[in-house]
Amino acid sequence: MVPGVIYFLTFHYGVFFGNIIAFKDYVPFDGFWGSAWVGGKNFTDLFGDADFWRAALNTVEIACLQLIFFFPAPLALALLLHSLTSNALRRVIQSIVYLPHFMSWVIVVAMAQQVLGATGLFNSALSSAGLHTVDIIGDPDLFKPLTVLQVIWKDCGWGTIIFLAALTQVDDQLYEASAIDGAGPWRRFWHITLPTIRPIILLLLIMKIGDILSVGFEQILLQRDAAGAQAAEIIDTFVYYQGIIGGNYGYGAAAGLFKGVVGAILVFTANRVAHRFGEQGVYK
Amino acid sequence: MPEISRRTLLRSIGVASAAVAAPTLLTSCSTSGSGGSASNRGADLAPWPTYIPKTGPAPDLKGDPKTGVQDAYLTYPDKLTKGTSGVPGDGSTLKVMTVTFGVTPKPEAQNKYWQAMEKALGVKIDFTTVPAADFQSKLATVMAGNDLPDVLNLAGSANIAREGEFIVKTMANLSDFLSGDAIKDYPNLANIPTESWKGVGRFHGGIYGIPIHRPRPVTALWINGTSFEKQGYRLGDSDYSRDDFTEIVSSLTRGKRYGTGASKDNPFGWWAHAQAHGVPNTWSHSNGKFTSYFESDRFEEMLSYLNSLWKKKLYFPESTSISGVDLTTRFYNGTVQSYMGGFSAYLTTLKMVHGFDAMPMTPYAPKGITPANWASKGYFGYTVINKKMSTSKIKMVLRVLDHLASPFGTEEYQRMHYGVEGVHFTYNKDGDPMPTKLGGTENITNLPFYYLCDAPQVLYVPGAQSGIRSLHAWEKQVCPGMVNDASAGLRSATYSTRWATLARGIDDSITAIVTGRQPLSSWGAAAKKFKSGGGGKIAEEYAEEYAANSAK
Repeated sequence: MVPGVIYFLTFHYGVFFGNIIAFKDYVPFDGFWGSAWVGGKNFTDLFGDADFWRAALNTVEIACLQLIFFFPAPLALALLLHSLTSNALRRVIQSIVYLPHFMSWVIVVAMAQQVLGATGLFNSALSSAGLHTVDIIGDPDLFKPLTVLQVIWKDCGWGTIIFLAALTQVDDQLYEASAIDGAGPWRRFWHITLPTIRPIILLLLIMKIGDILSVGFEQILLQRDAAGAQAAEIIDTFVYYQGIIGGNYGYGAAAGLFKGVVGAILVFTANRVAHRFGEQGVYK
Repeated sequence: MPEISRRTLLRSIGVASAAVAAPTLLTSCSTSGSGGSASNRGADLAPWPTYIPKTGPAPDLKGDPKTGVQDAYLTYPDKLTKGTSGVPGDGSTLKVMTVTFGVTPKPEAQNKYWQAMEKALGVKIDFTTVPAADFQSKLATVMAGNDLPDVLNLAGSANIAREGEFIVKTMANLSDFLSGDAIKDYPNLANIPTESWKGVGRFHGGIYGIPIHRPRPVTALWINGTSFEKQGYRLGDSDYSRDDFTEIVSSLTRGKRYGTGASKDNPFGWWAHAQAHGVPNTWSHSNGKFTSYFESDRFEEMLSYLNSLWKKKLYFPESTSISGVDLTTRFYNGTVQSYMGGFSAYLTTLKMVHGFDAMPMTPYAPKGITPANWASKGYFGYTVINKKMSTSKIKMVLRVLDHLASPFGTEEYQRMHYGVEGVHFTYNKDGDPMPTKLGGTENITNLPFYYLCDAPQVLYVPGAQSGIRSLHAWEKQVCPGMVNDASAGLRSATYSTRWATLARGIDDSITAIVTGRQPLSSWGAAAKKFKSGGGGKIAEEYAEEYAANSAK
């Protein structure tokens, strides 16, 4: 227990204190205490910065796309896997769909470039067939759907794990009984599967909402320049370029803190809404 | 189902935002204080180090120190001289840190190049090499850990917030050792041209940084000379027009080959095209006022030209997304026929290119415009020494740096640049030191001693005679009439905190306009945003600094 407590104190609660630099004009060689206090200046500057709002808007757009298209995908895949009767086949497919999760984003993005890039496989095939090429990677309009597709490809399989575990809790007798009563597959899903795993879905949904503004730093940083900042700057890359690259640590920290606060508010709200509907939510 | 407490959840969200602040917590132990500005306003200015040029071996092609054309050597000197006497070090260990563009070097115990250098210098070198992109965060970490190295090189490309204040607060003032005639104790440092010292500038009146010399040319449009010449290009043509360039680039774009290319490091290689379009160097000065090149009225014309090249699909299609390294690889293998690169890239390019002649291009001239060739600030980066060192230690470090600055044609230069004969290089039939297989991994690229201190550069690459000839001819054409950056050696606090962000904003706008995502008319707003976001303040600070520096 003690090592765990020390771990959390040091690496999780301790660093919270670092958020203090969001209120300072932080300079590394002046140190943590020596840097001047600037009060809310970083925040007033931030809220007046059009680039920040553009990044926030992009983040929200990508988050919504992920919520609509990525969040249900593992559930669908889990149902599909669950319905397989051959255990051996299920294990093989499970292993295959888990694999992409273990690839780093650098590899996934490089593969996407090799296949969909302007000189990639797809466009080479088009041009050798005498057709017009389409620049998928560099098109700002396609950037957001593309990132969501990449996320689905990479993490959909991994996301099935919890759903599959939840699906094993469903009492098979209920399926049999309802089948005898004449319920089709859709009815069985709606009246048996879904109510059983609903708390899990809601739990994951609330967790996802808390984390919603983290839409994938590495993935997007790697592809930001191809699509341009207008479409591809998100809060995390904004923090990176301002804080780490630009050396405006206080300003970057302010943007990061803003993101954390919004995430916290969203979780509390989502949890309260869940309670109102009689669900357990994440915490009581 | 397990219940999660509100706290646990808070933490899982907080981690992301706190991560940015994480390395900073450690700084709480370091000392503090405010002020300490590096501005030269109201400071006593130390005189520049006296320039005492050394005579090296007679060059094959003579340079001209007035215009900045370098001495060029087609063959390696057959008789080496000694650049220093005795061993400079005192047997202690020096912790050093520089930027690197190579790969992680082999550890000292297995690295014969490292060992040979230590033996010659008489010190153990504890070398930390940091990739350029990580330099700023690495430096923040060593500051936080109160673990600054003894000798540090700040590359010009590294953007250190509050750079000047950092130097004044943590690094030693070297004026007593280097200013005026004091530098005579270090004859190889006295051989570094005054322009380079001025480029680094003073910090609150004092001399803190020793420049790593660079020649006048700073960037070049590198071309595949063999294919360009087939299309009628001649180096030195004085009436080489923009239409000629467009025509050559279009006729070279065939199948999987592209007339030109760029990387995300400098969108569309606009630095080269800005020079061709007569856009002045980064900062210009007139009547006590500073203006940035973004305010030039030629900028829009350049953007519209680049947009036309992009629309005609003459750029390598992945130009907005590939890295600088990937771009040069594509230039070496012939996919990309021209690109904007650093002039000093010739040191690698002439070694790497086989099968065609790589050369810098005579800037093309749009109708009615005289190209403005930009001059460098005379240095790559500068080396500073930790304030905590005693006077005798500082003198020892300066002797070590003096040894590293031994000029071309000395034994010291050969060891540092090419390694040990028979181990890292062998002489070819013309007497050029050519790297051995071991020299391919144990070398100055991976263990960059030349970023601690180096001799003034001369034009020489082993076994690259024709390449050196065209470089020299090109320099003779572009160096006279080069335009300086008026901000060289001037301190601006706003520059060091805002420039990286502002320049990125500009690069984003350039990319959007050239690819046609935004109209050309949006450029005015981008330039205005630069000015109001800090560009204007930088100009004011430079003007004040300029006045302070020219007071004496």
